[in-house]
Amino acid sequence: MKRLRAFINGADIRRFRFWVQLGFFVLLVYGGYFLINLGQSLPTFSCGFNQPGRAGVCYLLPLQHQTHIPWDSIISWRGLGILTGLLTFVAWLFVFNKAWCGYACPLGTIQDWMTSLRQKLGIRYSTYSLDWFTRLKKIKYILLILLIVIPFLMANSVAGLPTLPEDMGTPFCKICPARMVIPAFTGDFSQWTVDFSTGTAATMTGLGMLVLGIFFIGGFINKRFFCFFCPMSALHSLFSKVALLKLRKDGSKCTRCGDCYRACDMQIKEIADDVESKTLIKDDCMMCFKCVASCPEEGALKASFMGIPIYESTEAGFFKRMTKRRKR
Amino acid sequence: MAEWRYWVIGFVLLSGGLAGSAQAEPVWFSDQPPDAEWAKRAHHAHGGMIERGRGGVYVKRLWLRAGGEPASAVYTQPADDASFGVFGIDGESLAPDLFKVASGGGITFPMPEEGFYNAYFIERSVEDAVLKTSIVKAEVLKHSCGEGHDPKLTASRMPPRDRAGVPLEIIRERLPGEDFHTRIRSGDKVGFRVHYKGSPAAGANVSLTTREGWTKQVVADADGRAVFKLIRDYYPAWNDFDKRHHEAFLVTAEYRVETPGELNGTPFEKAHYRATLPGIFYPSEVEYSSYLVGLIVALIAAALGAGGVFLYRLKHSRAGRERLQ
Ligand code: SF4
Ligand code: SF4
Ligand code: SF4
Repeated sequence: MKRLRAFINGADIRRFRFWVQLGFFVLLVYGGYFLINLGQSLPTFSCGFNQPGRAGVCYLLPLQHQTHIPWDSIISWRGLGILTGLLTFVAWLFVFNKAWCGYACPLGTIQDWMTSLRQKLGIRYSTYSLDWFTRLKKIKYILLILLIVIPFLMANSVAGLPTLPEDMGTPFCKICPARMVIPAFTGDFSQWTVDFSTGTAATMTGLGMLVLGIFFIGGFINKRFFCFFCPMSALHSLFSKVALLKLRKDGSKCTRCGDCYRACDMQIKEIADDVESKTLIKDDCMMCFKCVASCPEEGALKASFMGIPIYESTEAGFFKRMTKRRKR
Repeated sequence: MAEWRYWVIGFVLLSGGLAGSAQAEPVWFSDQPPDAEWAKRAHHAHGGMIERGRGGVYVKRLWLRAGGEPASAVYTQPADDASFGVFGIDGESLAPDLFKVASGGGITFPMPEEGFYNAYFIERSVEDAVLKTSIVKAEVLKHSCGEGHDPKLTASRMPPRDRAGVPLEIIRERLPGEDFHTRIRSGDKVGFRVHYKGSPAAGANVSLTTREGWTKQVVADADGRAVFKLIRDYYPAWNDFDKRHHEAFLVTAEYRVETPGELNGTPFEKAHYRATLPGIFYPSEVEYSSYLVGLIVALIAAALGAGGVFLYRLKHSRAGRERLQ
């Protein structure tokens, strides 16, 4: 048992992640061709527009359809539909928590591939200043609120104002880069258009293509550029505290060397600075556990499932990984 | 198929008498309500207009209309002795209700499960020693996104079905890769098969008429197939353009056989069958969407982003030194 633990703790998390991410990418982007269906409440960007390749549907798509609901239908079977959708989403999240982002999300994986390409080309990356980081991270919550409120205002007139136009439907999907990027992996570029049928449609789809252009540059220059703004991540963070998979820290063993912070693609400063909290799952964390791998202190950081440590920082593991990297 | 089998199944399908008069004008099913009063009850759904029954179950109301052009066809009443039937997603027989109101009439039936329902309404009469049979058919889709998108279930429910016992039947072939969300659009080629008593009706005259009255007639080939390319049939002022606009088509098939027989004691020397099947299609996406503009917008955004990063780095050349982790 001890040897097994030492083996796991000494594992090369990057390589492990690469293969798991690739596996999930194939499953979620092409699984539909093999009639795999994981339902329509997945807490990850298994894009609903990727038909027939998708192996399940990103929860944000049905959520935006479901919240297009008149007031008087909320207490009805339609309201019940919203509740069951949310409960299924939470059930998925309850098990894997934000590791859906670090290991399963196809759009997250694509961003990691873009980062690898940039590193291979020897181009340096950009980071946000702390000030900008704090400001920008709020955007995902604003997007989350808008993607619920806009469909609702399409079905309900508030204060006598006219309802919002039909072409505002699924507003976040219109600007989500996954709508264009993920179907492209199955050869479907039909989403790469601007829809001129109405002014609203042209604005929304034009905005979508604008975001796509920014996504390619941003994702190349910044690690996990889009994830900072992702409303799925905001929705995760509302429930992540109760999930079974956790990132734990033993502050008494932390020397605040900052190695974990430097390894973190999401610029989470608290991972190094916070020596008080026992559980550290910040809203931007994607549970990649690169911080655990980069920590040289025995048991300071650990990933645990139902309270059982599954991967923890060890001195031996740290040096094993360092030596391997130097050899490469 | 043996003649007796067709009549026996037909009799089961067609409860009630068979003495209705086949009309001179083609009769067909429409789910469009005839007036504002009925329109209030109807909601848009995948597969057309629906009403909601107990517990939110989708209920389809199909109105009978007479006339070869969808735009000008009148709402008509079913004859008292009319014959009708509806078959559910597994081909099971359902019991539709016949309705007659001041503005028209037709049938209604609940659609509890996802998939295609086939509705039929058949009238027969003998005129001048010719058996005239009008077979009105609608193929109705029930799909609600709230019930999920199980690809296995969808694939199993996509194949079109015909009905043994219906004398002449038009069957719409599916588009490549069609699922419950697929929209037929102008510019698409849509194939139909015409079956006479379950076998291909080679030589049947098949015509497709759009709402605005454009008509094309073809003769069904040896497999009973007729293929039509849907033209553009929607020319609004540019600022009234609606990409969700339902354009309508009506397919009519006519088939004649020289087989004598009798209907309720009235002899006939030959038979004339007319089948109808309505459908809807949408404007083509190429009419309102542009790849070129999309790419230009994305490229401009990417170029501005890249330029911005480059200029920023020129100014702050010390920033962003990457550490190997
Ligand atoms: S467009 Fe984005 S938000 Fe919408 S279904 Fe696809 S991945 Fe989800
Ligand atoms: S935060 Fe990133 S990894 Fe997570 S769902 Fe959004 S795009 Fe995917
Ligand atoms: S805090 Fe750790 S687990 Fe979370 S994103 Fe950063 S490196 Fe990954």
